[in-house]
This record gives sequence, C-alpha cells and structure tokens, in this order.
Amino acid sequence: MDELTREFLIESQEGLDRMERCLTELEESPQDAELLAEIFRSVHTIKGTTGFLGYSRLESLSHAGENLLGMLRDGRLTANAEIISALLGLLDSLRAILALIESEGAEGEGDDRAVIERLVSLQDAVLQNNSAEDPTPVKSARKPSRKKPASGKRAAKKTTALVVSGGAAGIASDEGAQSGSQTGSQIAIPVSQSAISRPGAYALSLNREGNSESTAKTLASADSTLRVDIDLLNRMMNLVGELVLTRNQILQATSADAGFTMLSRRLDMVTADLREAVMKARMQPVSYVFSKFPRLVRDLAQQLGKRVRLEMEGQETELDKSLLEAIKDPLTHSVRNSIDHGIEAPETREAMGKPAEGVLKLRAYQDGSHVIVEVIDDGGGIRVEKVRDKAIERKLITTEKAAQSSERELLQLIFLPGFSTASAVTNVSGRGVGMDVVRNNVEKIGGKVEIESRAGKGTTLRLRIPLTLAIIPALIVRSSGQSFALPQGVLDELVHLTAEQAKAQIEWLENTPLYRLRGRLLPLVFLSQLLEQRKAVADNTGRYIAVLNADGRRYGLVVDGLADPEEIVVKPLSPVLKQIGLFSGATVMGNGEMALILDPGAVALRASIAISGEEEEEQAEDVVTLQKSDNEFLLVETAAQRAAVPLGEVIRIERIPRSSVERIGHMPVLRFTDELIPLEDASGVLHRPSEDGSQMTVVVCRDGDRHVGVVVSHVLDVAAGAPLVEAGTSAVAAGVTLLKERVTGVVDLSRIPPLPAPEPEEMMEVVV
Amino acid sequence: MTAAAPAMLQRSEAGVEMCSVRAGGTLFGVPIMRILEILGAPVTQPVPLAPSYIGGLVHYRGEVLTAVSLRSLLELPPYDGASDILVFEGPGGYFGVLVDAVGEVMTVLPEAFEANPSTLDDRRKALFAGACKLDEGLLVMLDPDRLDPMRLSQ
Repeated sequence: MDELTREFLIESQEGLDRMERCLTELEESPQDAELLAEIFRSVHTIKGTTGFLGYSRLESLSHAGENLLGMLRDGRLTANAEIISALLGLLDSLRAILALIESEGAEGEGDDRAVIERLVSLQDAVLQNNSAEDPTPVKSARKPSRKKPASGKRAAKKTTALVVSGGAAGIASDEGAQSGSQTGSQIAIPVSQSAISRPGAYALSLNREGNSESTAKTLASADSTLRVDIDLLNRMMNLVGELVLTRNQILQATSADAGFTMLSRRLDMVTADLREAVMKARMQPVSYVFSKFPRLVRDLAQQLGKRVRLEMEGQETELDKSLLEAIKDPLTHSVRNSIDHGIEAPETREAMGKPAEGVLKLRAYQDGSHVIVEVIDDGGGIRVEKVRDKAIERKLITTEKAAQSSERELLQLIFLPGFSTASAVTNVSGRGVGMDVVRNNVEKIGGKVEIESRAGKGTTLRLRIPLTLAIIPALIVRSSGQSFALPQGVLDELVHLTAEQAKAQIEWLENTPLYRLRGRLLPLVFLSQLLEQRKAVADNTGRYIAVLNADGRRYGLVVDGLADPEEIVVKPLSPVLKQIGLFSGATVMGNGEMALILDPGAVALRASIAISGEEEEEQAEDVVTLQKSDNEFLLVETAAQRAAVPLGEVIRIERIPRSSVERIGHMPVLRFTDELIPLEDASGVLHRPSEDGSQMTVVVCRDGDRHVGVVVSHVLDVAAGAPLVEAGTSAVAAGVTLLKERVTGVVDLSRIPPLPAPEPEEMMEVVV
Repeated sequence: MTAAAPAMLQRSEAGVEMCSVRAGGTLFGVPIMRILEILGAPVTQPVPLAPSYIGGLVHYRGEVLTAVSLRSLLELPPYDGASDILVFEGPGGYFGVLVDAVGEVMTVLPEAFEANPSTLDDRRKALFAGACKLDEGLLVMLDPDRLDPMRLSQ
C-alpha cells in the first residue's frame, strides 16, 4: 500500500471516529452548529480524497451523506433519530469499505444502494417541501451532483497536496475545505450543494467563518502533537530499561569519592524522570476506548427498548496504549451487560419509583500505580440469594460455606467459570454472562475485577488496571541457584518452612505433595522439579512456599529462597524459548543477573492444578479467613523491639534506598510515582548515620482511606496473635497482642500523623 | 573452483573478510560483516527445559538475547573455559552464538572455497556452508542464518 493511501486510511478512520462521537452528541443537541460542521468535515474530507484515489463506492456514499449533512448544517433539516440512524448507517458502510481497502487494497464489490437511498429519501422530504414553494432548488440541487466529479477531483488534488506537504491529518482536511471555499463557487460545490441552490454569497461566508475558526483550533493541536511509531516508543522504553539497570549498578558500586556519589544520585533522579517521561509518551487517555460507547449504548438501548443516559467521567485519565487495547473487550462486555441485564425497561423503572431513564456511568481515575475503570448502572442490581442458589446448584459452593459468606463474597461467585451458562443468563437476575472471561482478560494484564451490587439500586463493576505493562512489580525467587521472577499480582502470601518443618509439614498423598495451610490442603509444585533442574538443593535448608492464585488456580510454589521484590522491566523471549510454555519473558535485575519470568497460570496447567469447585470453595473460605483475620499480624522488628502490624492492613513491603526518603518540614515522606505517603519511624532508622546507597524496609499499610508507611529494621514473620485480657477487668487489652508467646505491641496506624497541608504550590515543589 | 561459492563469498573479487572462531578442535569462519558485536566472557543464564542447542540468555544492550551454543549443536562436550558470544541479527531479532574463542580476521578468496564433502554427517551438512582451504588447514564456513534459533527450532 502506498504512503498516500495509508495516510488516507488513518485520516479517514480518525475522521469517522470523530464523526461517531459527534453524531451521538448531536442527538442531545440537534442544533449544535459546531458538531454539524465537524461531521460535515469528516465526510467531506473522505469524499474529496476518494475522488482522487479513485474509490468510487466511497465517493458515492460520502456524496450522498454530504448532501444530507449540508442541509442539516444550513438548518433546512433538523437532526432527528431517523436521520442520525441513517448517518450512523453511512458511517458503518464507510468503515467497512475502509477496512476492505486496508486488508485487500481495494474497496471490493458491494451494494450501497440501500444506504444511499435512505439518505436521499431523507433529503427528498425537504426538497419536495421546498419545491412546492419554489421549484428551482430541485433542479439546481440535482445538477451539481453530475458536475461534481471534475470539481471534486480538483478539490481532492488540493487536499492531497496538502496532506503531503503538511503531513498532519487535521490541517489537511480543514485547509482543503477552506481553500475550496476561497477559490470560489466552482470548488465550493463539493463543500456544499446548498452553496449553489442558495444565493452563493451567504452560504460561502458562512462556510468561511465556520472553517477558519475550527482551522485555528485544529492547527493549534496539530502544531504541538506528533504521530510517533509505536516501535520507536518500544525501543525507547527498552533503552530506558537499560539505563535503569546501569543506574542500579552504579548505585551499588561504592566509591570513596564524594563527587561520584553526588553524580550517581543525580543520575538516579534523571533516570527516574526519564523513565516517567517515556512511559507517559506511551499513555493515551481512556477516552480512546470510552469514545465508542455513546454509539454502543445508543444502539443497544434502542434495540432493547430501554432509555439509557451515558455519563462519562475522567476521560482524560491515561493508560498505556497496549493496556487500553486489552481492556476494550472486557469493558464492552460489561457495558452490554449493564444495559441488557442491569438497567430495567422504562415501565419497570417507573413502577419502582425510579426515573424512566437509566443512567450508565463510566468512570476512570488513577489510584496510586493503578487506574480504576468503573461501570456503574442504576439498574436492578444482582440479587445475591439468586447467585447463591445458582452457585449451590452448580456445586460451586457448599450450603454451609454459603451461609457463612458475606454478600460481597457471594457476589464474586459470578466470576467463576462454570457459573455463567445459557440458563444462568435467564434464571439469575441476568448478570454473569461470561463474567469469567472478563475477569480472565483483565487478570491477563495484571489487573483485578471487583463487583458491588445492591438489589434494586444498581451494580458497580470495577476494573483495576496497572499503569503499564512494560514494568511490573515482581518477587524474585531462587531455585537451584537460579533466579526467577514471579508477578506480584498473583501472589497471595508467603510461607517459610525451616528444614525440619519442611520435612514434617509437607505431606505426601502418594506422589503428590501437599501442605496444610490453615487447615486446608494446598497442592504444591516444586519449582526445581518442574523445571528439571539438575542441581538438587541439600535437604537441610529451609524452603519457601509462595501461595499463588492464577486464573482461579491456587497452589503453592516451593522455592529455595527469596530475594527482594523488584520492579522489573519485561523483555520478550525468543519464540524458541516461548515454546517451553512456562516463561512469559525475561528480565535483567538490578544486580545485572538475568531472571526468567514465570507464568503462574502455565505452571499450574503444567502441574495439572485444576480449577475445581472444591478449590474455589477453599478460596472463598480463605477470603473469609483473611477478612476475619484481625488476629493475624506481620511481625516486624523496629530497632531492637518487636512490633506487630495487622496483616489485613498491609499492602506491600518495600525495600528502598534510604536516599528516597524525602521530607516535608520534619515529617519523613515517601513518594511512589505520584503517590505520597507519610512514614512512621518509631525505631529511628532514619536518624541513624546513613551509609551511601544503604537500603531500608518500609511496610506500606492501609489506614482508612490513606496509605502510611512504617519503617522497620526487619520483617520477621506472619503469625496469629491471641488477645490478652487486662487482669482484673474482662476487657481485651488494646494495642498489644500475644504473638509467638511474647507480648507484642501493635503499631497504631491511625496515630501516624497525616501529611502536613502546606500551600498547594509548596506541596507541588516538594512532590516535584 | 569445484563448487559455486556461497553468496557470502561472492561479494568481492578480492575476497571476503572472515572472522575465525574456534569450537572444539575446528576452526570456523564467519563473515565479519554479519557480526554486530563480540561479547567477551559474558554471563549466560541457563534456560531450564530449553532445547539442548540453547546456550542460555545473554544481556545485550537492554535486550535479552537467546544464545545458541555451537558446541551443543555439534554435540561436543561443554567448554569449561570462558567463552565468547557473537551477536547477529536475524529476521526474528538479535541472537547470539556461543563459541570457545574468537580468533583473527582473515581474507578468504572465492577460489579457496569447496562445498561440503558428501561424507559429512547430515547434522553438519545442514549447519556448514562449505569450507575454505587455507595454508594452515581448513576453515569451515558458517552461515549465521543457519544458526538462527528461530530456524533451528523448525
């Protein structure tokens, strides 16, 4: 395909996307001149260029559309649902042809008569009305269409010439139109048919006004933006990854020279900023995905006889391009579900005292290193008891378990494979159609899905998406002297076994190793055995069990050792190594060593860990234990003292360089990308003389809505605490617990002072 | 000349510059224009469950390269000294070839070229692109394209 055609395709597709957006908005405000002009321009540009490139189907279609749009723009017609549907039909036909050109290089054979006739018949109504009063317009309206090819081609030449010299899409279309109107009536024909049928001067001046204004606008954005090949961005990301690695190595290299230390700090900062900037370059606003929903919602609502208003919030929230592509389908599915099964028919809604028009809200916002996308409807919600009955009937949960589970836990059952079947769609209050597919797609990119619903009030589906794919937090595990990276997203917990414990507590059912985790049997996979690593590790060392949950498969991966968690840059593997099927990529760690990234789902499959109802049950059970686990604590050492942090509040444990602690006034704070958390430093680690490049451990916890960090010297263990009763009273002593036979103080997270609230500008400075 | 010289030898009348590398007891020649870089004594990371000819992963300019071991391809015992890696670019991206040592650069004339002898075993026939007669012995021609892991896996 030549450059010109490719340019035309990109430009036209962008134009059609804009047109689609505008058309759905037009339904709300049918008189909006700006919207009409925008739509007109999109169609006009396509027509102008196709004449030149010789795509006759596109030309005749866009010509028919342009005539109708010209009337709308001149106020001779007012947009109504019928007209908008016809224009959407035109849009679909144009898109289909563009797709054909893209895939096959030609617009193919097809019958567009129906679409064209529909467009023409809509104008005819107006034309006949007019002809009753004044017979001339009919004639003159027909005439230009025959005259058009010659002049159309001429305009097209101008447009394409501009495309070549200007290069940017926006400029080409507008200037093409503008120069058309400036050269006079002849070129004005393709711009608008009505320019002929009406007294020329008036229509022309109107055109020029509208165009010059929007030209200025598009020019401004075209001047400051640039289309960049995604491959180049990938390459930049790679190089930045390389730089991050080199920086890590430099930071680890110790030097007596104070100047060197300062330089390496500077390098550290610049690298971090550069990484952020390159990552930002890959980001696109979620409006890229959201923009197709107004049309989808409109069509679906009409089809189902429902009234739905779509509200979108946070469209400017940005997400990595590849992730946006990945959430497109799950989101579409969820929106369909909401309209199909969530929002009720207008009569039902009115009977329930709700407004007849349902509201579907798409909301996106950033939360730390994640972007949250919510699909909220005010429909009938999901009746939990129906979900429960269905799950029991399908043996996804036992009756006893169901009785113990909270509503929230029961709701999550709809994500189980096997829950949604054809009969479930109709029997249960509707939802659950392929929700396991939605969950799998989101989990594939390291995200999570949650659902909340109140019967009669509505449902909220929440997708939690990591900001970027290229860099993921991972736990580094060691097996037979080799390092492997495990994506943090699938890691539930870590269990350490001493050599004796390993011998005594790993049980064998014939040849299958199992571990009793809180009374439940957890299937184990020995990583070194799975990978057939020859070097056996002596039996007299401890082991770690990484409890993983991949695509609903829960198992324990037995490894020899753990290293610090790291943010790793994912590198693709060559196809030969991908064929092994257990590794999703490779990475170079801070110390220069390479590690293969394990694919936990594939490992589970290889070890034939199944998603069985029973295991799901166990998972549900675990959710219960985790939630009830007020008595589980992370045992840490602060200075020489032991302290306990409630496990339920722990978000993650970070090893970070001491140098990354910043201060606002006297308060130590820590910055993760653009998240600021206050630090509690009971042990005074921060006040001890710091060696250059030395590391410290921070336990990041949740306290209500905020996040706080607790600086500790070591993380010791996870253990269940027993309540202590204050002697003489029967009250449970607050702030202490019995952990491992020792009275241990519980860190009171709520007493960590909040971030000081300086002037906003000042705050910015600190953050930057 | 008994056989048509391979394309890589026909580039110039004056001969082609070849880089000699050693694996086991054999001296191999690789067209120097194809070598992107030579990594001396690199750290390689073994890949569990990989085909036997995979020498491991190597870190090269921010990329993780798959390296093919020439010794394993020829079913020779592993080398216990420090090896070198030649970096090439194939249709599927960069790849490395692990050899015992890189020698000198020499100019090979098309006249010196001979095709693979028919007595050579099939495995070697598929890998070697013929040999060049040098004063000091034979230089076995290696065509980097035949060492591409993408191709070897097929």
